[in-house]
Amino acid sequence: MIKNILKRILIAIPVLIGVVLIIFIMLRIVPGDPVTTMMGEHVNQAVIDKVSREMGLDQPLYVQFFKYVGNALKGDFGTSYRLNRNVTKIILEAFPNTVKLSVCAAVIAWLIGITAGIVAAINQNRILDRLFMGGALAGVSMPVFMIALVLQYLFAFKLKWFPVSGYDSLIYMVLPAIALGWNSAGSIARMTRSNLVEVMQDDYIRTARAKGLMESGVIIGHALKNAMLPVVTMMALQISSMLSGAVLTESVFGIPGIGRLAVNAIENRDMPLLQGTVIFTTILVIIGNMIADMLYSVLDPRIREGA
Amino acid sequence: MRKRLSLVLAAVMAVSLAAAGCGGNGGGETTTAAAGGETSAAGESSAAGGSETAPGSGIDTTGFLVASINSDIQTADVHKTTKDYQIPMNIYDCLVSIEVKDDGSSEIVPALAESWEISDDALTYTFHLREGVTFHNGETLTADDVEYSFTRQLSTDGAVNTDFLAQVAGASELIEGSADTLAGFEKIDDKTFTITLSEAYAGFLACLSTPGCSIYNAKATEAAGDQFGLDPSLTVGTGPFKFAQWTINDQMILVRNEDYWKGPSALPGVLLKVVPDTETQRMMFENGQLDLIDMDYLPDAVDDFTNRFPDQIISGPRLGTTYFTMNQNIEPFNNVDVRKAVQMAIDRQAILDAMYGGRGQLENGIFPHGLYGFNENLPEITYDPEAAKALLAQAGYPNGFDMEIAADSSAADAVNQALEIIQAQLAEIGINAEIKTMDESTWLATRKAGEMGSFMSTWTADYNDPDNFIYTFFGNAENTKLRSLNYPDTAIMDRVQKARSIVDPDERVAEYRALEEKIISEDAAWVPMYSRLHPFAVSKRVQGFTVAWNGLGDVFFYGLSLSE
Repeated sequence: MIKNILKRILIAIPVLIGVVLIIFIMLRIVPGDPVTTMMGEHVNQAVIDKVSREMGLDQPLYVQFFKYVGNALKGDFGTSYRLNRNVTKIILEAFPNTVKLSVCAAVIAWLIGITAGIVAAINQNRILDRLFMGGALAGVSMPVFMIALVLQYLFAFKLKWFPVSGYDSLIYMVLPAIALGWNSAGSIARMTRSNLVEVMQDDYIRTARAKGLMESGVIIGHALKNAMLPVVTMMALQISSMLSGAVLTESVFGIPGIGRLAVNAIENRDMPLLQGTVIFTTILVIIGNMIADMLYSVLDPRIREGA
Repeated sequence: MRKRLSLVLAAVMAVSLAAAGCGGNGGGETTTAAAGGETSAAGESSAAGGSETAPGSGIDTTGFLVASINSDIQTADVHKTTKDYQIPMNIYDCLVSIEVKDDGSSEIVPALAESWEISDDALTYTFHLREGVTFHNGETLTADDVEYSFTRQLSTDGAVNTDFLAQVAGASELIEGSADTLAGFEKIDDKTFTITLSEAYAGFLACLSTPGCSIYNAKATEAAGDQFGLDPSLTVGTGPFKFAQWTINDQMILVRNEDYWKGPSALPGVLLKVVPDTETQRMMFENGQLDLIDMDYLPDAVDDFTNRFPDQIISGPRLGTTYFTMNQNIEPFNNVDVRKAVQMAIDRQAILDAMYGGRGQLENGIFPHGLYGFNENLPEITYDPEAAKALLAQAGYPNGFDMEIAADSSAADAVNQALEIIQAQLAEIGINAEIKTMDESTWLATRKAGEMGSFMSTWTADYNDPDNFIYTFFGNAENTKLRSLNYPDTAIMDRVQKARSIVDPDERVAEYRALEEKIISEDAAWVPMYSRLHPFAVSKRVQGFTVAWNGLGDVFFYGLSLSE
């Protein structure tokens, strides 16, 4: 087990280096000068040249790259061009907000997704099944920003049940969490249903029924355990989709998280901040995948022993 | 195996329940185990997010005006930004300020400087500071603070607002780093000082009125170091509001300065919400979550708002000229008849009507309505496609020609739609214009290289003086190249340069008007388009709102009040 984790961490290192290299080069082959973009119209060229020198942008690319990697290894991801602050600090300040949004979204996704999946499986091919799976299909197919905009327009603007945008108290979290969670809820519901339906035909379920258990006992005590195995792993894997969805959700609802930072950084060609957010989310996704792997081996002894 | 599975499932359930609990009761407990990331930081933040009135700040924001901004400011240090003036305008003061009178003319009035004298050779300005002005940290304003501010403005790392003081003797040495002090500044006593210019410059007082020339407190600014302008508690001025809080991507809070030298503001404070999505801003305003919204953020909604909330749309002139360029380094724009033909081929009123509901005025020169020196007697440029065709034929292009218009993808939609109208209008006289869309950085780089064929943009005033316009575009060969105009007449550009030192106001205005007529009416160096009104939407409870004098687009909150 520990050997397995160590192996995973070792694999993560080249992945990270590759990501840093790609994002670094990509940001620099696009034409245009970040200093000009940063300072706008009313600044003369001499000032722009001077500031470029102060930021070290006049140096060759490889020098800039090795400097960046060297500093990054020490935990220093540079200073944001636009916000003039330490990138690590900005990200760590924004991260809790993204976590809060993602956790609320995940909870909604799990509760709704699993419940809907079970209900649909029990009522296989009946009206409830069709209804829930229809909703799940809509959740899986609709892009997050569209769900977000529709929810915002309907429940905040028209019905005034929730605030349109902002981040003042938890009531502000409801719509963003649903918007972000619906997608995952859809996949979880579909997966729970199909697994449960499959498991319900197994011999041991028939045995359980034969020994006189109530149907609810059969489902909760026996079927669900095995059916949930892949679902649980999928939840961990969904960290990455939550993060990409958060970019859009945060922008629509005005939540000051990592996603907003990334969007701002792109708009302002704020290279240090963008690099920082990309590296940070990469690490999160790697951790998410690691957890998924570990959960799987914990849950399924065949994988653990085969490894 | 079963035990372990049950444990995992139980853990998942526990996490769900804990988090669901947090969602229900508004408390601060959030568990982050599920996301696999940091735990302690998340817990703290959600505790802050749960409070009711002023999240994370402890500031009671009851009675505050709520306004929106579409992205964070870069810094509140005006020595390091040329565009983020919304906070600075409200927390600092300048030596002088500008008041626009009802007839549209403007006047320089005392602010931190109570009075001043100008020497006969117009080189030396003697300023007398107002008595009893204190900074937000309690320090009293002295001449040392002014000297410190101007020295820092010219020499701090990343200084961008150096142009406004470039005329002061010794400024260039300070910018280049060969001097540590500003030679042209002399302190007489705590309340009196002189500033000597290297050459006479009549726009100097107007320059001192821009937010870029705000006066800082020497002691506080020095102590704040590079956190000045970033950390609100360290960012002090003499202005009507104190900078109380700044949460990146979320909001900024200004709180009333009870000791303001003009008397405390009627508003207890201002909550400036960062709302990136314009549609969200519109919904927030309609639902009463916002008191004040800059309609530049949502130009499409102006007509709709004007119909539905007629009393709540307040507009004012913006000192800005929208112009369409023709690069004289590119054939056939080196031919004056071709340029005049383009001037006549564009139906500017139609564009103003279509894009901005006619909210604005046509311009015929460089200086827009409301600017000092504006000339209403300039020859009018008429829309006349037939005459334009004839001119083109006369110039040797009876069948038109091909040209390129560069569009900046980050510009407002209305600007790029206007380019399509121009494209269609040019086609009427046979000119085949292709619109090339570029991202902002590329667009700027191409323009600055002097290689952009045509583009449309708007220049708004930094300070209310014609020099700010004509010098930027036609002051010298470098400036005209940076705007991809490549205006070739060096004799005229020398006159623009010389005009800066004319002292007599009448003579000066006359020279600027003559130059403007020569460059635009005779040489057709660009197509002057229009100056637009700047509409704001205010909620019913806002009293006393007026649009600020300049083109910066930002709002002075002093003088506003809420009726509730």
